[in-house]
Amino acid sequence: MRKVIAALLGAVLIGSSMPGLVACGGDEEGANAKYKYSIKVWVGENTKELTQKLITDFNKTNPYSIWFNARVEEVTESKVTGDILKKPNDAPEIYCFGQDQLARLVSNKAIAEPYGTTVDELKAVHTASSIDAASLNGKLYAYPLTEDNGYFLYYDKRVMDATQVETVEDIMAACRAKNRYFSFNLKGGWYAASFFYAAGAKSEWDVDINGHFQDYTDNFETEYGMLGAKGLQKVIKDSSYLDLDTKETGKVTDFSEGTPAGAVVSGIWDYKAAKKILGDNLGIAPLPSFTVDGQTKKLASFLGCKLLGVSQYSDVAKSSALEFLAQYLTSEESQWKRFEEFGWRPSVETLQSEEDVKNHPALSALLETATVAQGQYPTDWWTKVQTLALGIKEAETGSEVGLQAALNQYKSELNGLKG
Amino acid sequence: MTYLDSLAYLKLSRWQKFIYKLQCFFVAIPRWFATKFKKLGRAFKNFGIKVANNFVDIWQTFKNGSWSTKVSFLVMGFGCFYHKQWLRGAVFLLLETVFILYMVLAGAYWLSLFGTLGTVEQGIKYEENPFRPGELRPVKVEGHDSFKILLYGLLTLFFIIALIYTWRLNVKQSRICDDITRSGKKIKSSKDDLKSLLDNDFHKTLLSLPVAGIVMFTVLPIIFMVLVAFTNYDSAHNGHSNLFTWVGFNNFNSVLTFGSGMQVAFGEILSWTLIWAFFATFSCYFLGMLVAIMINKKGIKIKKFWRTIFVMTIAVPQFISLLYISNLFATNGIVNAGLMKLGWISKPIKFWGDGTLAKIMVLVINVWVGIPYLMLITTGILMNIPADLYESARIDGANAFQQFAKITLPYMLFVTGPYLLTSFVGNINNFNVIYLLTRGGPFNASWGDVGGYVAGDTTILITWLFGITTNNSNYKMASVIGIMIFIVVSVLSLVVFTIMPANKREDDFS
Amino acid sequence: MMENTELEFSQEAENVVEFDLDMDSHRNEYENIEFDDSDVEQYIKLQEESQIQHVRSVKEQAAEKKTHMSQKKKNTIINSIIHVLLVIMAVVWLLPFVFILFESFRVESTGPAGYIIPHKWGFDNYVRLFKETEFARWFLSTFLIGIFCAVVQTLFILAMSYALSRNRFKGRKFLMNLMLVLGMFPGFLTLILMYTLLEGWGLTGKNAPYGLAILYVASAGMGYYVCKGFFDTISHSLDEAAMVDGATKFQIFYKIIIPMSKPIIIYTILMGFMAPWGDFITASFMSNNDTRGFNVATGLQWLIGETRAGEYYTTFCAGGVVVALPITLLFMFLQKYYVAGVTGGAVKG
Repeated sequence: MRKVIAALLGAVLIGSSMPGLVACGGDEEGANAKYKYSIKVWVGENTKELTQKLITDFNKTNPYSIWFNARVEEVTESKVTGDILKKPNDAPEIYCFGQDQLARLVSNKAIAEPYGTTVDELKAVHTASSIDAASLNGKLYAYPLTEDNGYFLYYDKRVMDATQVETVEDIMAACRAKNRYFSFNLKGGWYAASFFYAAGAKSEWDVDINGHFQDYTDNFETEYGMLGAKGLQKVIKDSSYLDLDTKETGKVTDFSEGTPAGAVVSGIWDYKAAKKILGDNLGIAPLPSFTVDGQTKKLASFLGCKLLGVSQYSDVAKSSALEFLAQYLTSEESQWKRFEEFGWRPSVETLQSEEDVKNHPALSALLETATVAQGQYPTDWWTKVQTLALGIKEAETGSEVGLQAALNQYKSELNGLKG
Repeated sequence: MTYLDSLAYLKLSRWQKFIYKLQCFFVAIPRWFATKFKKLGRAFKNFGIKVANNFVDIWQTFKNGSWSTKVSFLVMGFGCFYHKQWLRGAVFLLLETVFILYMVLAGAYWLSLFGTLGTVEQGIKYEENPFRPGELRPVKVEGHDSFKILLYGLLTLFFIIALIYTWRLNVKQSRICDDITRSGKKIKSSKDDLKSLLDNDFHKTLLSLPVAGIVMFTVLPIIFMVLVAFTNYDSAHNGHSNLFTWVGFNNFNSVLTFGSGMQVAFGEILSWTLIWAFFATFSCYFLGMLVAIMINKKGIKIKKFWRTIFVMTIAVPQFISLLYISNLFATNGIVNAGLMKLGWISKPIKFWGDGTLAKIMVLVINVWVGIPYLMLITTGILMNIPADLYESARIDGANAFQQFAKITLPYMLFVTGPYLLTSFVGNINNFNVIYLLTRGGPFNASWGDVGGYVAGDTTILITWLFGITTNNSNYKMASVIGIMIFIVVSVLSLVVFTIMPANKREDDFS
Repeated sequence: MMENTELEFSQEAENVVEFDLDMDSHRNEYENIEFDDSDVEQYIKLQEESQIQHVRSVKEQAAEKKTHMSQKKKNTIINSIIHVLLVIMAVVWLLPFVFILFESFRVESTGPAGYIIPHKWGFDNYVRLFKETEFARWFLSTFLIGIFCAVVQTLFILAMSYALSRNRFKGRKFLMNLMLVLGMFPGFLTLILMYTLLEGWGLTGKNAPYGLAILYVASAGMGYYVCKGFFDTISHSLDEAAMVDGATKFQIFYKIIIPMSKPIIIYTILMGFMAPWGDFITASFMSNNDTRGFNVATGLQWLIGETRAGEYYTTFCAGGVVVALPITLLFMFLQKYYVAGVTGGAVKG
């Protein structure tokens, strides 16, 4: 027994020094840079290597003698804000996030605004819409990274052809015929809103300079909302609609499950994976239309930006250096590399008109979809729309009373989201 | 009611006996509570008396003590030094010095902010940009951090209490030394003290580290979270950039207000949690016992092999097996695809989509998880049942079922009573099975989205709590719910634990 | 008391048995409120019951003697039914693991697939697991945490159990009740606080494994029940004899109690080693998205994150197999001790 314990203790002692050993190596010295910082950078999934390379390039090329020893991590973009606010003392220096989180970051003072000439430089390069997305009340807070945060249709060419992807009804009929699924994450607020915006309903929120939500214009409870609710119900209650109930749908891996999907609504981030699963059978199309009460409406997608944010620091040199890095990571050169590697649509004006960008199959499908520039929403608004979608699913088919009740319930809770 | 003696009891008819027993049982419950409350009252009274006695004692020590004792009221350990107890004196003095240093350097600061949880918000000031001379740019000015104030303030309070206790020890020690000197006996030396740490006071040595760990990483955090329930710590007030502050009972009000979404959801989720815990505990218990009996039956071959197969499933981490099973049974998963290919079903079965079915599924899969444990436990206990009991039963011609019902089951229930309780409590907080299988779904709109999180049919309190904290950082509400879970669980187990027979056996061995 | 029930219910012998069980258990419950029951009483009661049964079933016994031969046959039938049942159950219990194993050998695609048996077999996923991901690092840190916990946790639990089992000191009951009650508070609520504490010492992010090791071990003392239960059963006369010979309490602990508790110590070590492998929530919270600070659970979960599932699903399965293998082997070798531990734990609560 004693020997065993002694052996274990020995193993612990040897072992406890191991992670330290594994950790070293690979850290290049910023030879004699004047400003040296060790930083953490959080980026979207699969982009670690490229970002790391870009930072190395920045270290070599910047004229200010700045050297960043950066640790890049891939994170789930939707979780970034939550993690930053929960662990404020351990927040990354630079992070990537969806534009809908901007107000929350601002109201929690977790983001440092670009300043001085940088603002003018950014405004000169990026499209007006992306600058708008990175601003609150006209004040620029973040660095536009892409302008492609929307969704469109992926489909399996063996299940339906190009003529069948124009309406929801055709898509679902094709799926039913081949015993396949239509995968569309209608229980996520971001996707469910598609039906309401298509029908002409609107929910817009006013946010003040501190990121607090002041007021809203919302007409989901009117006949427009009703139209959208009916359309959503038509899809969500269809037998071909993939409803996983406990998990999110709308992922291209649904194409390879036990009973595969025939069509999936998702965004550009899934393009590579979709291509890998379906190969030449992958079809891409703009969002379809739906017909309710004799009215045909084309589904709309939010079109938003992914942004880079920089945390606030009291060291003025560090703040400025980070500003340069963030600017470099979102520069024309970097965005082009990102487009080439992952197909992310640049937010830089000159790049958007490049032929390659225009003709990219997925991006063109996204742009052909009727898009709605995404504004700022309170975090809980997404949950409210999710609850609304669940309420619509639970309501009796075609019963306007039930649908209206769900819409009214939604509306009645909006006031609680202010502030 | 009147209690019958055993003779009168035997005269009762079968039915009357049953009623009598039932009466006894229910009468016992309020009585149990009554005695508990009486005990509690007595405890408070005793506590008060003790505190008062302490003060009297301190005063008398001061009045009658030698001058060294009087000094040790101010300079801790002086009495010990005077009586040449170097070690004890040094420890006391060291503790006092450390405490004073800590209070001066940090403690006083944290404590002064404890009442408000911080007043200075994070701000901005302008400094010259070194890379663009002449340009002023904004940089952060750190403000107070409510979270740290709450934490370190609490820690400081802990230290103060600890110091008061040590001071009291120090006074007592001086007095004891005085008394011993007066009676002319020899005072324990430092060497004796050290020796006793391995002998008579060995338990103190043993307990010191584990208990310190528990205080630091269990007691302190729990008190902290209880305090959070009285603040407005949530996603809009993370304490760091936006301060949070005390709000009294507001959070409790919003849970308990009749008819509020929170209250309805809490009731619904609580009742499913209890149902889940009950069925999860007993289904595993009986089925596990059954499997053990099957394997242990005479004439069953390769017993060890069967056992090993079940044991293997314990070894595989649940986050792998349960996640995988959850995907197997998904609407588009392999099970549905297979069944449809075989032509057994035409439409996929929504294992996780229907509330009732999902509840049954988690219970069934929980049986899959739980049987191996119970099988092992039961196997061990079954072997302890005296074989001659079965022997005589068999001679009497009792069939297998009768043997089970008359011998095995009563014995098992008796012996594993405490286990059933811990297992019940464990199931109330059984996060893994529910979260990995369903995440609490199928989600539905009927309870609304409480605390920024939509609950579902299989959501139990603990997964609800998890959703509220991870999705929405709504810590104030999570703490309130945590406290309520705690109350429910502890009252339940206190009642059961005291009523249960096996509880009183500890001292039988000693 | 049985005789008059016999008269009333003589035709429904089966029913009586069931009913009795019910009633007796009720009786146990309330009787224990009124009187102090003990093992011995309970045992006597069991004996009495079997006696009563003896009287009652003389009739049945006579009948059964006649059918002794058919009884034997019946037994064989029952046994074969049980065998079949056991085979079915073994399959049900092992199936998910076999599925995972198969999927981990799939070469033709890397995402989830609608079938189990690979079209093309190979070790590609295992190679990818170690080459393309940081799995080796995650595995190593989890392994080391496991070893650390196995050692320190065992020491803590032994210390706690011995102190509580062999000493009667002031505040002992209070301490035990306190620990019982503390265990009922939902633990992960305090995660955010643990994070802040450990962050102050620099033990989060890439150093999360160190922090985790401390966290797991810190409250280990609360798991003393099983071990203390075992110590309680060791006779005190041994201690007394040693004490007469002049042994100190430390010597008694070290030279008498420890050597006698081998099974329970091995059980504690086994439990300490295993627990860190399955922890996901704490580990992911502490690592704060730094892949260097992951343990296997966080790491594998990360592999099948939002957009990675198509790329790494089979690799995830391979990882699952690699994690499960050593623990399963360990378990099979130490099964005996595990059984001793859980049984003791169940009996003592």
